[in-house]
Amino acid sequence: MMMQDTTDRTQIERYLRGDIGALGELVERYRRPLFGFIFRMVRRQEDAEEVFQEVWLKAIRNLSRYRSNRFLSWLFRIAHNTIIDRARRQKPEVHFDDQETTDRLAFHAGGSSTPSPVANLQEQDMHQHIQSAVAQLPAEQREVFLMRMEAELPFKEIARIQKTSINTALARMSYALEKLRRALAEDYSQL
Amino acid sequence: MKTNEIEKMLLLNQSGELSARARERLESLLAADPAARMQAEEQETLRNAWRQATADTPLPAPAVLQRIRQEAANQGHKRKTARLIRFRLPAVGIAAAAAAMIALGASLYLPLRSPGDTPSARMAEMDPVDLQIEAALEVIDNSMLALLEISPDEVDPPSGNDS
Repeated sequence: MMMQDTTDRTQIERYLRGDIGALGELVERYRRPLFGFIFRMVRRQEDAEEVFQEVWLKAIRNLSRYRSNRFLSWLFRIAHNTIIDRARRQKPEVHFDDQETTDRLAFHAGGSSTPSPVANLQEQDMHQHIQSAVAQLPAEQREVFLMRMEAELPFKEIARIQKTSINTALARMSYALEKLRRALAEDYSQL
Repeated sequence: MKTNEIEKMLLLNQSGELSARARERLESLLAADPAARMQAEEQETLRNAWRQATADTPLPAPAVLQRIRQEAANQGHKRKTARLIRFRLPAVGIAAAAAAMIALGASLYLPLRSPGDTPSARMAEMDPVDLQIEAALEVIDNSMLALLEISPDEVDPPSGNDS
């Protein structure tokens, strides 16, 4: 992680000195975890692309003011704020305050809340099932889960991004895992 | 230890945020408690299942990446221009001011020192006040030379064209 931070810092400095390609390398490096996180938070490809683009544009415009040592955490903080702003501006598909609303969110990827019989679960179904179970988590829990799973951010950073304590971040992850365990109980024999 | 506490310790251990002492405690707990071991295995299984399930996550369209690169180039250009204004413009300004002063000095000085102009010819054109000043300056020059014990003859006569 430390090594990665140094590489990021070097590339940012290169970009600020005029090497546009250095920025391209950063975009490429974090494309998968960042887009994966955004996609699973906003749920639609077009929306995810818009947010992804917005995050990078904000990052690029503020790079000269970047002082942190963890570029990926910085990007995720921008993503977190962008998603919240967007949810407030639009009809809130992702809602960070209303537990009931988040609990009622529709399943992603065509999944159903009714678990398929274990016997009929093939690998693809199981993949959909786990994705659907994660999509059903309340936004704060889903966010912690995704930040850990997609980007392996430390809980300290996640807590900072969510403006909460590390204990709350850990509790959100625990709740998320517990709900996933329950939701996937029937699949566990196959996992 | 409560299940919930074990879970948090497992999570912190996985993220590399557990202290060495706590890690030792967790390891001995895992060695002694089958339920804690099962919990750790479940976490690992879930993590692996998630990785497999999201291996084919869609990526942003190339057009999106293209727009980001374009913005990076635009911002790079803006930064370059801003740097130019901040650092080079003052230097250019100072250089221009210096050049203007040299030009002004030259325009004032050169008419008096045009080719073929000799001190005597110039003195003939000078008004009486200037002549008096010139004479006073010569007296001062001679006094200075006397102080330095140098004969006026040892000094090179002023040439009519010293440019």
